[in-house]
Amino acid sequence: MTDAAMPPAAAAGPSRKPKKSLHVLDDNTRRRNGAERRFRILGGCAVGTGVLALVVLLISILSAGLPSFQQTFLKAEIYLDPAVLDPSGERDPEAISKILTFSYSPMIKGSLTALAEELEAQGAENLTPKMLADMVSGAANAKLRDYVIANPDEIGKTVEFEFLTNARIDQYLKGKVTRESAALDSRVDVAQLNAADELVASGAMEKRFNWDFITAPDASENRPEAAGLGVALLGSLYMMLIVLCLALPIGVAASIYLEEFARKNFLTDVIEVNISNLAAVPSIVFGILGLAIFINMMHLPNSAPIVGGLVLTLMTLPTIIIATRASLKAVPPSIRDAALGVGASKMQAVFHHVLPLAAPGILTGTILGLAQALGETAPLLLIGMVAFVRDYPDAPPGGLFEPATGLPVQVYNFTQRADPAFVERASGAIIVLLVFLVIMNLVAIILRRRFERRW
Amino acid sequence: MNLETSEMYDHNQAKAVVEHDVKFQCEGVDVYYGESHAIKDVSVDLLDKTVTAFIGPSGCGKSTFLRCLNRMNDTIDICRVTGSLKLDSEDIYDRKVDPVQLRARVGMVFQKPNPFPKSIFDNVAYGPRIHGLTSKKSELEEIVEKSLRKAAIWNEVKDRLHAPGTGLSGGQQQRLCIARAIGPPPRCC
Ligand SMILES: Nc1ncnc2c1ncn2[C@@H]1O[C@H](COP(=O)(O)OP(=O)(O)OP(=O)(O)O)[C@@H](O)[C@H]1O
Ligand SMILES: [Mg+2]
Repeated sequence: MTDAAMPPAAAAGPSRKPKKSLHVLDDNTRRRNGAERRFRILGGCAVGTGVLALVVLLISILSAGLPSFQQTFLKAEIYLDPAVLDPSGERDPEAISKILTFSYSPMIKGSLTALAEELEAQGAENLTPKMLADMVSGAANAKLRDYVIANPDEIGKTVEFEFLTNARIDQYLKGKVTRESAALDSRVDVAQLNAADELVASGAMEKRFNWDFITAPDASENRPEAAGLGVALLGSLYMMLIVLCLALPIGVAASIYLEEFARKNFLTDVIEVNISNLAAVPSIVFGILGLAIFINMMHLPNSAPIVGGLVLTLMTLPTIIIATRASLKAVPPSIRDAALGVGASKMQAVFHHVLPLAAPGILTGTILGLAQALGETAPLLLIGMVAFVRDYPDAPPGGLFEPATGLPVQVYNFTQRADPAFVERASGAIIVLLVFLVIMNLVAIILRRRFERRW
Repeated sequence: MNLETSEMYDHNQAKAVVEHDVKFQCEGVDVYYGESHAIKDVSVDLLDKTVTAFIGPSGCGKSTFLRCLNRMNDTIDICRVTGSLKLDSEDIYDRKVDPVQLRARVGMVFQKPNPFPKSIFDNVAYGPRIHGLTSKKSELEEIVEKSLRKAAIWNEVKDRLHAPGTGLSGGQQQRLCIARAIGPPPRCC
């Protein structure tokens, strides 16, 4: 109630009785309060549904994927025979790396035989050297060779080495393979499971955190235990770098030009509509475009991060442009007037005042675009990034032209394989992808904090 | 020279000079916003080193006329200015005139306070900085203090020059904008 609306008599004295008490809610207020309460409940339900979905998703991914970060190893002493590994005796890394994995087999066999005998002496019943050899992964030779190449000084010594066990034994320790399923499985038998129990009891076999899952390259169909995400991680990282380096400057420059400098006319309207439409184009279309232009016309190599990066850049550009234009529009025009008023040129006004104020919004848009690009599979399939790649690409810039895969494609790849042990690895790869995303978001949040200012 | 910036009036100088030259010579100025005719045939001479006030009902075109004097109207697409406006007998709407250069000489304080969302110091130092007047910190500080004193706000902000300019009260913000406008390069506001 305003002063003017008060009837003159009301000012008479403290004894006057108000027509309507403020202590009683009138109908209108009650109705509006009710509407507000209902909206709050609805909003709470909406948020709750979202959070619930997220929690269910996280729990299912984590429970399926976390075990993949652990791997079962068999510990055994092994004598690194200098006569085999380094006949010249010079510890020349080149000479050592010429020794084939095949040459390691007798040494490993000897080591496992010794272990079996030792455990038998301690009272183990089910162990034979052959059984131990069957339980060790086919990738063990290569891992031992990598170890020797990395530590040439160990040649001639007896070292304790952790042999990767095969996927069935690993899955047994993780509770996925049971005696019932083993009876139907040609690649494992119940005797091996009994042996595994004894090895675990004796402490020779155990599960531990396995960095190789994150750093190692992919492995073949029948060696899921050795498959890792190293190449995919590098490929994704390279592609994100390319997208960031190309899409951000191009997108921001285009937005600034369209928003601040271009005259509003038919042409800019057409461009605006087109950009909005591009943001809605299915990503596989960009893959076809990339195949036609970058590979068939420009003859860039297949499966290379540079092509993936370029395709994803095209895909991300509209998102960044739309977000940037929206945040430029949100900067109050009075700031531009203020800068122009003290004699700044248009460009100075934009770069000194408008852009810093729009930066948080631009960052959000960029991160959204990058996240979308990081998770994109379809266009990468078309440009051949789904290939089986075992060699790490070099450091950029050269490595950008070498074959690699990407994390989402690796997930897709893992799920395509027959061996059930890859299910766990696919979920593990999703977790790595999510962590990658979270790190990117954290960086964006930190940058946002630095740019954010009070008006 | 105008109502909105009258506080920046420099008493000492005004007393010393009695005969004033004509600074701005405006003849038959018409301003259109699209179809609407905002200012009709205004002719006025504005004197150097004097404070001139425009008085009139709301919406009569005071701000519009002021914006013509440093071509801030150029930023409004639909705005059209005709007639002759001369600064020191040079037509400021001549094709050869770069409005950015003009605005470095003709400052403006807007109706609504619009400090940059930066520190008080940076607000005032922005003009001298972009015009390359000084790169030395001490000189810059001197300029900032002088401008703030002229805008009668120095005493209120001298202890918090690095606080955000947007944290001031409305009136203080406007005085900050005045300080920003009257700082060097020397100009008419
Ligand atoms: N950007 C614009 N677009 C269209 N019309 C405008 C614009 N700015 C001002 N006008 C119109 O021009 C006329 C003059 O406006 P102006 O802002 O100059 O008034 P004023 O004299 O400064 O008023 P006040 O004392 O309220 O500030 C008004 O009728 C207004 O509606
Ligand atoms: Mg006005």
